[in-house]
Amino acid sequence: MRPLSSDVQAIAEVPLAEERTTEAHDFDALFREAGAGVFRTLYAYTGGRRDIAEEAMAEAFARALARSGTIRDPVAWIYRTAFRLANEELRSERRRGPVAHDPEAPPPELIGLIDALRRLSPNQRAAIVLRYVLDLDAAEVARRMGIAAPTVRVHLHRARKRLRELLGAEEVDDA
Amino acid sequence: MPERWERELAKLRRIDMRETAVRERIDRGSKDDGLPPRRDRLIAGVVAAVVAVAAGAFAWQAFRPDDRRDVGGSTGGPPVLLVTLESNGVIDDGSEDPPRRIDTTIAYGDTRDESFTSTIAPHSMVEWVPVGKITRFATTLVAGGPVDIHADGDDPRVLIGDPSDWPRFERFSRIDALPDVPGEYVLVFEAEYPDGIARTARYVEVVAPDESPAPVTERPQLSPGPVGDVPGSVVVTLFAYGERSAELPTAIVTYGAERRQACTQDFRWTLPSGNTVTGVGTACLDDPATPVPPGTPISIAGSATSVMSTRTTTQFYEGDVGLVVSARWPEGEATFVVPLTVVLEGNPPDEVTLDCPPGDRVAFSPPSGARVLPGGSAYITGNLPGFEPGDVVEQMTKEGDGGAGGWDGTWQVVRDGSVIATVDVGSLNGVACRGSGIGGV
Repeated sequence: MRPLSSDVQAIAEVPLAEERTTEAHDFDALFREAGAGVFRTLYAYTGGRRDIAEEAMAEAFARALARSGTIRDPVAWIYRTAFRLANEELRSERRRGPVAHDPEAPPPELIGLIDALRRLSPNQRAAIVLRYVLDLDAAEVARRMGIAAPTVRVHLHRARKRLRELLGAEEVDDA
Repeated sequence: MPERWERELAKLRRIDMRETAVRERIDRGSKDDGLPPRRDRLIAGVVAAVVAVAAGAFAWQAFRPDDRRDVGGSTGGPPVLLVTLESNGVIDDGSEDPPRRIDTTIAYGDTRDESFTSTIAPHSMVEWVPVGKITRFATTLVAGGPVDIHADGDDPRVLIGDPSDWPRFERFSRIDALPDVPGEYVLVFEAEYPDGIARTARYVEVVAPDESPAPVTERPQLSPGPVGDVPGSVVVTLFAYGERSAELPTAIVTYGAERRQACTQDFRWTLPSGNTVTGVGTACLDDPATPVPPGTPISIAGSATSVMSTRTTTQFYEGDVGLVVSARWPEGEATFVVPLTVVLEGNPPDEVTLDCPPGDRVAFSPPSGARVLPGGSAYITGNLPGFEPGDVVEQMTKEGDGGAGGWDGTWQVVRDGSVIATVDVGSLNGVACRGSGIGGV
């Protein structure tokens, strides 16, 4: 058996005849488990562009599905692919000029946050969401972003500092 | 209690995708499906990736003065567009018949564009990038100017076409001079190799002869920096957005004859128009690392106004390290990752010995309170008092795998060639020579 990481062991061990069904089932589970996190990270990464976030996420999942069995770490692969697709689309938009349609505005309660996130770099946005919204440690953030852990720490340090400046540092009562 | 920004950030947990629409989109399949056989997919992937790489980097200006005499148009006429294609090994795609890597150089006046492409075997299926993603050449070209192409393959040629015809190459025409009519064109540079055809393309703007060629982004104080001028040091030279690349801030790492472009991890830049440009790279970990000896000084050069580096010397143990350099300019900021790999020529030092008598060695502990990031030598210098400009902080031992950054073990502080302190990274406890000031000693 090929040495694979434990998170795809189930895919690798199924008999060939059952592969398609099982893969579909596993990707469905993968979508349920990781989909919301991927979307929220991309939503922040794109500065609140729901259309780009959903398309990049869907395309990344579709590509992962098409390449199933060849991806060693599907979750990290999907994150990295989705980041790249979203970035390509944002760059493409900049080259094309203003978009013909108005992108969907963020919900009112998120306007302040999205405005602040847009003042961060895309990698700072992704790192801060993966760390503080998805509660991942720096090593896992690095794995999903495809960058080095020291770089993640730099992004987090800068992002926290900037968000404190923009949104306030005072503590609030959770109760 | 969380800080206010954390509370705001937590609101993102309430936002959800339109799941039905996303699932339907996934079910429709990937836009890049319709996959050909594996071998063709590999080549297509390589070619597409190569074109994408070319689109993302390497539009350089104003360096290698020796080359300018070849292309600078010093006789008063327009410069020569000088193109070279040169074979440089094969690209290991896992197949028995891998494509050949072809390095490309396109020089025009002070502008030089370096990249690479690969050969395409006959009957391969190639997914060309959209015309909007073709690399735009960093300067305008003067109409009617000469074109010269050289290659170590057969039949080197330059083709020209209308951007709307990309990638229908049968509609492109062979040229030996730039067109007389100003406008936007796509130039294709080709040569034949035993492994197939090598091809790369640039989106160019041709201007009338009375319009002098101008770089896409002018920056009069071009500063190539001390590239290759500091023997024995790793030199990372930083270039602002538009200074060397029209697409992103760049960093060049040199060590002896080794010279590579570092990875631009991300950047944020405010253009003269007031618009802000951001960019990000996520594929840096696979970049080839520059081999260096242990303990090699690292210096930063270039136009940045402030720089933070995670190391001042290379590590003392064997293996890879991603040097992270964050830089600021008046117009923006960028973070670079410089892949280095330390190659040991002898055994690493067993222990650290201070260059002061045993009676002058004083133990210290870090000040209480919050510690500042990042890691590496900056973690030590940022959290302990007493460091002076010019002090070198370098890692001497390593514990376990040390995580991705390897920030563990014992580090030493060198001042004027003498070891004056040792520091344990985990605790920031250490020993320093009396009077050094390190750790308050």
